[in-house]
Amino acid sequence: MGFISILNKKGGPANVQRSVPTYLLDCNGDRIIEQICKDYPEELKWQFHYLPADEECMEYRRGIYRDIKLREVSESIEAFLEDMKAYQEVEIKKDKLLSPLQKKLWHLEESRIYIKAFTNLYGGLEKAPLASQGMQEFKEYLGSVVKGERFLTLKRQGEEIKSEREAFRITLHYENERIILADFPEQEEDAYEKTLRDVLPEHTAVLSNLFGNEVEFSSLEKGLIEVLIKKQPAFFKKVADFYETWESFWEEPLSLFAKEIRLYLAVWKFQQQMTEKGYHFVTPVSTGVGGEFRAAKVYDLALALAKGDEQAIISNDVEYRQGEQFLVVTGPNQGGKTTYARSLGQLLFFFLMGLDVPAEEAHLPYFERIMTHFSVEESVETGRGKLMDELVRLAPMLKQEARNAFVIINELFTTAANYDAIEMGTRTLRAFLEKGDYGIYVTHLGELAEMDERVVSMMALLNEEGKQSFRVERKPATELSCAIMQVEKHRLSYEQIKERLACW
Amino acid sequence: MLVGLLYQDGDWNQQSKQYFDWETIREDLGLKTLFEMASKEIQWSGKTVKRIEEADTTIMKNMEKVMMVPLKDAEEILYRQEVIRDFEKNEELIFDLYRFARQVLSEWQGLGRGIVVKTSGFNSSGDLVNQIHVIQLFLDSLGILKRKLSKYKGKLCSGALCSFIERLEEEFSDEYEAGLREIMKDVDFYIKDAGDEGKRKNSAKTRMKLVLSYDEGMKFTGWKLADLGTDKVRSFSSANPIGMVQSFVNSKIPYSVCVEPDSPLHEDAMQLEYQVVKYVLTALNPFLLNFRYFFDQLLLQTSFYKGAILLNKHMERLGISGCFPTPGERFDFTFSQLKEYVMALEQLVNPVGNDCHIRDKNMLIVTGANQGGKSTFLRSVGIAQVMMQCGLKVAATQYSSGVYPTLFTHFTRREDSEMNSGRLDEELDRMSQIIDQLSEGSMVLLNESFATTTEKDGSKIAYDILTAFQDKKIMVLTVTHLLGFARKMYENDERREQTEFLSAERMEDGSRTFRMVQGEPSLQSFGLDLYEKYIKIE
Repeated sequence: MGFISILNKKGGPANVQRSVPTYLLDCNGDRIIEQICKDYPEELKWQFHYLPADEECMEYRRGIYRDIKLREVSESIEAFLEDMKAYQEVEIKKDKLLSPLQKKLWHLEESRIYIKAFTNLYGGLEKAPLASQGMQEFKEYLGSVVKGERFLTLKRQGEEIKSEREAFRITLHYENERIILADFPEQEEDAYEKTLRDVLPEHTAVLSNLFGNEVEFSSLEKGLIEVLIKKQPAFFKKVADFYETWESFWEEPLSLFAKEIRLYLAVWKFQQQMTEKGYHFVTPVSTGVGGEFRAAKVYDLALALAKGDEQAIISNDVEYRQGEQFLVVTGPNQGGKTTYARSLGQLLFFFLMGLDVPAEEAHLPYFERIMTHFSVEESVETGRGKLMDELVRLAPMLKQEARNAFVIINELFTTAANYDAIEMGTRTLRAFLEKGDYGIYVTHLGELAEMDERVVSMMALLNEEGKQSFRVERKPATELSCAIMQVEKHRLSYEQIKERLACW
Repeated sequence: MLVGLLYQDGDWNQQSKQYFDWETIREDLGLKTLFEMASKEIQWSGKTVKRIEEADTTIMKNMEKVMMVPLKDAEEILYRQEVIRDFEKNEELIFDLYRFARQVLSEWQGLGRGIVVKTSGFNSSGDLVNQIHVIQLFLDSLGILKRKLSKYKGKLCSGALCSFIERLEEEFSDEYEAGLREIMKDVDFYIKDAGDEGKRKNSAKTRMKLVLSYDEGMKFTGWKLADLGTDKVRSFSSANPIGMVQSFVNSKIPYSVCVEPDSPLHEDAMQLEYQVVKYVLTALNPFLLNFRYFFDQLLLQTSFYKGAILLNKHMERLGISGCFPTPGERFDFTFSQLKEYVMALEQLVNPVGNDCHIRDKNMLIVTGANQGGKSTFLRSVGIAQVMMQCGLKVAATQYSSGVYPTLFTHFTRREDSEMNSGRLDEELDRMSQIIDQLSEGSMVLLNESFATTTEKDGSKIAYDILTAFQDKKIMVLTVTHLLGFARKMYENDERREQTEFLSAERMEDGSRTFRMVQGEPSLQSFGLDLYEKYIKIE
């Protein structure tokens, strides 16, 4: 079986989804995707909204991505995508045109870009040391196309017409309210320009490319093409024949490739830009379902984008040791808890997409899905209370049967009474643990961190000055320490208040 | 092209280094009067003045522009003096050139001139028509100027004027002119008939030949202009039998399309004409660029020289003899019968003149009787210095001084001289600003400085500051009532060596001559004399 799809190992185009999945929105993944896709058509984003079908397909993609990162490969693909862009521009022009003759003429140009794009791409890939199954199969397939009779005939016929077109050199005489199209007498091509040059040797004027900016024929061009058709009927017959023969010249798998390859190149270019700004990425080591789970210097890529260059983004480590399933993160407000949770979501998203991850080192197990639950402002639309709203969204997450999920919970039940909140939180967490899920639970309830040995307590730390350090580390939940620091920062301790009141 | 009448190697420009704090100099020396009089022509009736014309604001403005930029050295000063000499001998020439420059600029203005010469950014056929007119104006004006000036060849001696003529004949040679005129004829068809908006001159039609290729999608590309011209053809309306025949014959031309009026094709043909004309006009940019500032500079520079001639004439009518000053060594300072020209112009008098002979001294201290003409004296020097430093004649029979491009005036005005610590603070602040700007070859004119504090303190301040100036070889001319300061300077042998002392002359009977005499500063201020004089009268 030959080449099928570079996104979907099992065949057929990869699934796409227009709407952004909730977990991507919650982890700000949409902002990253926005940035990655900013130079590409809208539909590229949709490919990010659907994870590969299974672990094998994830690894299939990672192999291809590894090949893409080879310089010669990324360069030839970049050139290829430039050609495709030019192709699309022509296509857009063509679709707008009214005159059938012009449509045919532009169809010819399309075919030439098609030929050039794939010929060059094959030239580039042929020499590259491709290691992935996906890219090797594609190269083989592409070779069979570009060396095939169909492709070569298309090329030859297109070129023939082109060189005939280019050979036309005509003269317009405009006088006495008449424009006459005549054959071109070699010697006097730019006689008047010479006249100007004689008087003004240093002038830099250029005769602008009249009507060149419009795709549509100007009235003059239209009028004169009719004259030319009378003069050169054979040429126009060829153009018409070409169109009939080659109305559709695309090979279906190539058209799929052209769409799918953009994802890899877009990510790779983005990754390079971020690397230049000092952010790191690594190819993760896949450890399989239930395998090792640890990563070093994980950071929130969306935050890095928002801060631009130079800004030092705090990165943190993550590790699930033997038997551990959930991280419960507590700590001061604005202390980086949510950022930490988001960065784990992004880490797994890029991993599952078969790409590199924003970390310095990563060993990651396979998950079938990422589920998130972020507290939101009270919904005006539903009219439900906040707690109600949270529960409605939580219910399907707990019910869903086919599991192996990574769950991210951010501040549940904040409007409930403390006792209730602890109780509900404990039950929720336990339910996920029982289903064998992994996850992270951001909360202000320290009690949740102590509830089960499968739960690890993590804390967002303050620095010596009592300010947020955005570091998140394994630490028993001690609400006291940070509370005292907060109090002292505001000079509200007993001694401080006495001192401040000492003036009378 | 360089006009070059003000400088040998350049024209006046906005970036030229002006006197620092020019406005103060202008106020302190009363120079506005000078600019104004420089712009007023005198109508003579024989030897007597019949009428003084209204001020010409163009000259006033330009006079100031030129005068606010000091010349750097003797060479530059002599360069302008020579030009003035030429114009003194050929007065009608400078009057004519000035009038001509004004006329060209007003015509240009009439064509809706922008701030700069337009060489791109045309976006309507109106722009192009306008550009054709501007080019035509330039061509015609330069032609006229060339011919005007060629008549004066041999009559002029100054390097500036001779090379100006030479330069014009070279940069706007007859051959170049003819070439440009030919090109302009070819685009003549484009000028719309002013009387009939939007319609062409019936008799002028384009004739153009273009070569081109076909690009992708059979779009035109690779345009070349093979021929262009304006044909004088007679055309007849199609209602006319001759017209009918004409259009019938036309329609039989094979492989051609007819440009019917008001058809889409006609619009394209207009576009074709527009682009071709735009191309040709753009090719003329080097010509326009070379002369873009020419007429503005010509007006500016002829304004100055006309003003110079008029200033001389005003001296003449007041009976003041003027001379071309001799720029000399710094710290040598000699003049005879130097008069305060501004006062003379304002009061229409021929004031008392002063003489001075100083060699190698960098400070001049003027003391003496109030109302004795000290300030007038100081101003007369300041005015003459500024006039010399822009090439003008000065109101003296002889004047020789160094060139001091950084010149400062620090005049305490009467209303400012009350004792007031805030005032002293301001005064010192201004002195400090001056010091920030001082350099070698600076001249500072001080009139009653530090009068806003006690005599004792004022003297101390003056002594500290001015001896520092002296040691840094800054030329200082100071009128002062600070006798403590003056005495201290006089009593110090070393200081006295480098300082000249002048005082307002007082006759035996206590009356004033308004003349300054050299000599030891007295400790008495003569205010008493004045008091006595007025009391006695009563």
